[in-house]
Parts: sequence; structure tokens; C-alpha cells
Amino acid sequence: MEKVSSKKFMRAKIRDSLFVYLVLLWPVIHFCIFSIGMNISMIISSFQDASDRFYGFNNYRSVITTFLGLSASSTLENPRAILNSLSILPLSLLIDMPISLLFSYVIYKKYCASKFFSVVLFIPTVISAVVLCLCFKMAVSRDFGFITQILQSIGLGHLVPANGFLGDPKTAWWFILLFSIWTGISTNMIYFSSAMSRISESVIESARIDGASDLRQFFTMIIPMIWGTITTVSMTCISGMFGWYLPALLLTNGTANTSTIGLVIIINSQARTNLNFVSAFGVLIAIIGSVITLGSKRLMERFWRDVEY
Amino acid sequence: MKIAKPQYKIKKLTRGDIAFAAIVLTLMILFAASYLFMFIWVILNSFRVIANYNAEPMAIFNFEGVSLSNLFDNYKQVFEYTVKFTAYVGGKRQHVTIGLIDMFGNSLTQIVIAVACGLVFPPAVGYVISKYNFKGKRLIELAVVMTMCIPTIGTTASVLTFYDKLGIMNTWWTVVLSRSGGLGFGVLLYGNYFASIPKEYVESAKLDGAGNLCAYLSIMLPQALPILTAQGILTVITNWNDYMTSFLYLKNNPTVAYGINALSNQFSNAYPVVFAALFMTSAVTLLLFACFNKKIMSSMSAGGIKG
Repeated sequence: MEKVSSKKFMRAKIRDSLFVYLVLLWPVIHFCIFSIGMNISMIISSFQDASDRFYGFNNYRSVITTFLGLSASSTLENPRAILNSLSILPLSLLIDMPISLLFSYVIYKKYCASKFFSVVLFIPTVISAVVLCLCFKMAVSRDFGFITQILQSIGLGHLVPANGFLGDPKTAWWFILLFSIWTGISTNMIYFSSAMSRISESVIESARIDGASDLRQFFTMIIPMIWGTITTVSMTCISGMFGWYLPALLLTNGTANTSTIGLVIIINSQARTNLNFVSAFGVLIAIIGSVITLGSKRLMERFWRDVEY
Repeated sequence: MKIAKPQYKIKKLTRGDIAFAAIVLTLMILFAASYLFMFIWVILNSFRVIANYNAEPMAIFNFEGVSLSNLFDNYKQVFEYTVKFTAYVGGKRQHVTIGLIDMFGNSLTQIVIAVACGLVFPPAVGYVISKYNFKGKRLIELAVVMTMCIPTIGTTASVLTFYDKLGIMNTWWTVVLSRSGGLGFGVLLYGNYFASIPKEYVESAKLDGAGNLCAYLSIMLPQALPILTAQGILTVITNWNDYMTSFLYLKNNPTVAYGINALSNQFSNAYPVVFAALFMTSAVTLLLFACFNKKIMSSMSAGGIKG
């Protein structure tokens, strides 16, 4: 009798593992090809020249010299690309994130019209970046843009550069930053709003009874309670910094000093040019990016543990 | 936190609170107004006569020359617009001329592939990780974290040359391959959700003679329906809006978002046509968002995306 049941048990166990491994089969193959395999092929390619011969660290050398401005490369706009990519981080951490945190808090507190705001402020997340970029482009366009028209009508027409705001190397990057503030807050708000909606009412209620002002509740209760979400969002900002390129691609295509690291990689990959250079660049980014991301994750977790509630 | 003597008197808003709320609300109104204005601006301009718009771009209420017979002229132009693309498929040069209807079809195809992949792989992996013990589980979890943490942009060149070598560049297989990775954020989302469902549900089904797959499909998956729907809708929206897939892998089958950008270059002196195209493109996702707004938000919070 015992033998039968153990046999049955064994058979069930085998069937379980068969199911598990069948489910995992394709995801694991996919991971091996696209995460491990592609990273290995990127590393190999970074040590080769255009005809697949071993090239030592020359690609790395040219990445570093190009972006330090020591040697000029005709196809890559340097060293602004690195500077531009780095400027995305303070923008998203110090401007986008505080704004979206405050907005989510005010919606959470339901001062007024919170339903309206919680729909309208999420609009940019559901609209294509293409549409947003085209709208922005047309709004600041030199000939027909309404922002240019407004400036002209109040006598500030001389501020508009001859090639338009997005065509002038002095103003273009600032307008791209403006665009990313305008569209960047709503994605964060989804995460913050849903995190705040999970905070139990009674905790906030007790703080209110104790007489804590709303602003104080925000800093002493809300922020610690959603610290986990804040950490996650910061991580995506930090790891996303190097891969940030879409607005630059659509608004200016990298002209007028608006290139970024991500854009250099994408444009060259798509055109199949400078592939070894791009791979060396990719390896450096992957290393630096994951060190910074994981390091700051550690730091943020040590700085403030997520409060259990 | 030290709890002071309870006063049981709900405090009215202090002056500081009012100032704080006023400042933030003003900013919110500014942002919200800019989004709404963008819409009104796009919609109204999409009906204007091109010459009229070029003469007075700011006069959005100036509908001179617009009558019932030519009300939809700009929209007609969008539908009549075609664009030529050249792409290499399996080493052969392919010229395609594509109109808006074809682009709609392409977007739909991409959406179907992405939604199918998203509904099959991540939930299954999340389920297996949350409910089974097996060798290599730690490795899978590590792989999920790795996929989420390491910047992947540098591998774009390798992926593209890989597709070149396979000879599937500019075919739909690229979309299938790029969407079917099961290890990623979705695994955590579904894993957390399935972990909260008691195992007894599955055990009792198995006692009735159901196999593993059957138990998963008939018991567990239906439980996750809210998350599946929300994720499905989000996938529809992101793929409808997607520009990069066409840009990198599918030049000959561009999506609407890609095509609209090409259109805007062709009509750079006739913005009202571009406005019409923009309105049509964004109306689709806005409608979806308006219908499923609550569902998406509630499943985001129910799924507990915390860490």
C-alpha cells in the first residue's frame, strides 16, 4: 500500500517538474539568447574592428577620447552627448519626481477636483511620444508655432533664433528638457498615486487628530511609507538615463547639440555604422550603469528603510 | 512615533496648509490646462483651411472657408496619404508604398502579437515561481532582476546584427522575438499576485484529477483576470504608440505612430493635415484610457508594485 502511494507521489512530482520546466523552457532560451548571448556578442564586438579582427582596447580608447573631446569624430556629436545624458538625471530626480510626488499627494488628499486632475494629468502616459513631440514641435516652430507667435506679439520676437528654438544649438537642448518636464511627470504619478492609495486611512487619520499639518504629514508619514516606490522610481530614472533618446530623436534627430548617449547608440545601430565603437560604448554603459543603479539602491535602502504598514 | 494626548478634534486647515495647497494646485492647473489646451488646439486646427492656418496660426477659432462640404478635407488627405519605404527582407530590396489603412493594420498586428506574448509568458513564469519549488529557482529570480537592472541599450547593435544573420530583419518575427521574453517586470507582478492566492485551490483541483496545466488555466489564470486585463490594455496602448519597433526592425510595416511622423515631414507646410492625423492617433488610446482608467489604476495598486 505504502509503495503504491509513494510511486504515485513520485509520478506527481515528475509531472510537476515537467510542467515547471516546460513553462520555463522558452523564457530561459530567450533570456540566454537575448540577455546573455547579446551581451557576450556585444563584448566580443567591442574588442574587434569592422572586419572582425581582434582590435584590443582601441574601441574603448576611441570612445573615451571622443567623448572627452580629445579627438573629433565626424559622425558623433561630442562631448555634448554625455553631458546631455547626464543632465537628464538631475532633471528627473530633482524636478520631475518632486513635482509628481506633490501632485499625487494633493490628488490623494482630495482638496478639490481630484477626479478631474487624476484623469487629465495622466493624459501624457497614454498618448504616443510621437504625438506629444509633434505637438511640441509645432507649438515652438519658427513660422507657425503659437509660442513663437505669442513672443512676437508681446514684442519679444527677437528672442526667437533664426532656425527656431529647436534648430539653434544654444536653445535646443533646453527646449528638449522643457519637453521632458512637461511630459515626464505623469508616468511617475501612476506609481506614486497607487502607492499612496495603499496607505491605510487610520494611520493618516490618527496623524490628523494629533494636529499634524498636511505638509508635515507629507514629509513625516507619506514619504517614509512609500519610500519603496520612491526607490523603485529613482532606480528607473537612474538606469534609464543612459537609454534616454526618444524625444531627442523625434524633436531634433540629434542635431543642434542635442545628441545623447542613447541616441548615438540607436542611430549608429540602426544604420549599421560604427558598430564596434557602439558596442564598446554599450559595455561601458552597462558596467557604469549597473554599478550606479545598484549602488544608489543600496544607499537609498540604508538611508531609509521601507516602513511596514 | 510619539503619540501625543488625543484631542479628538479634527484640526482645520492651517495657514501653511492652505499656502501649500494653493501653490501645488496652481501648478497642477497649469499642467492640466496645457494638456487640455493641446487637445483643443489640435482638434480645432485640424478642421481649418490650410491657407488660413498658415496666414494666422494663432486664430484657432478662425474657420474661414470651412463649410460642410469641405469640413473633413484634412482628414481625407490623411487617408489619401501614402509613403514609400525601402527595406531589406532576407537580403532582397523591397519597396513598399503604404497608406494609413495599412498602418492601422500593422499596428493591430503588432498589438495582437504583443498582447498574446504578454498574456502567455509572464503570468505562467510568475505562477511557476510563486507556487512550485524546483532546482534553479534562485537562478530564474536572479535573471528577472538582471533583466530589469542592466541597461540593455548597448546590445541594440548586437540584436540587429543577430536578426540580420537570421534573415528575419523587417519581418514580423522580429516583433515576436522582441516581445516574447518572459523574464522581467511582469513576472514580479504576477508572482506577487499568485502568491497571495491560497494553494488549496489548485490542490483540490488536482485531487479531482486535473493536471498542472489544466489547474493553472482553469483555476489560477481566471483569478488574475483583473491584472491580465489591465496589463493587456496597457500593452495595447504602448504598442499602438510604439515608434521604435518600426524604426529598428520593421521599416516596411510601419505602425501608425511611425507613419504619422513620416506624414508630418511631408506636410510640414500644411499643419492642419498633421493635426488631423494626430487627433485620430491619440483618440484611440484616449478612448481606451477613458473606458478602462479605473481598472488600470486599481489593478496597479492591487498588484502591489512596491519594491
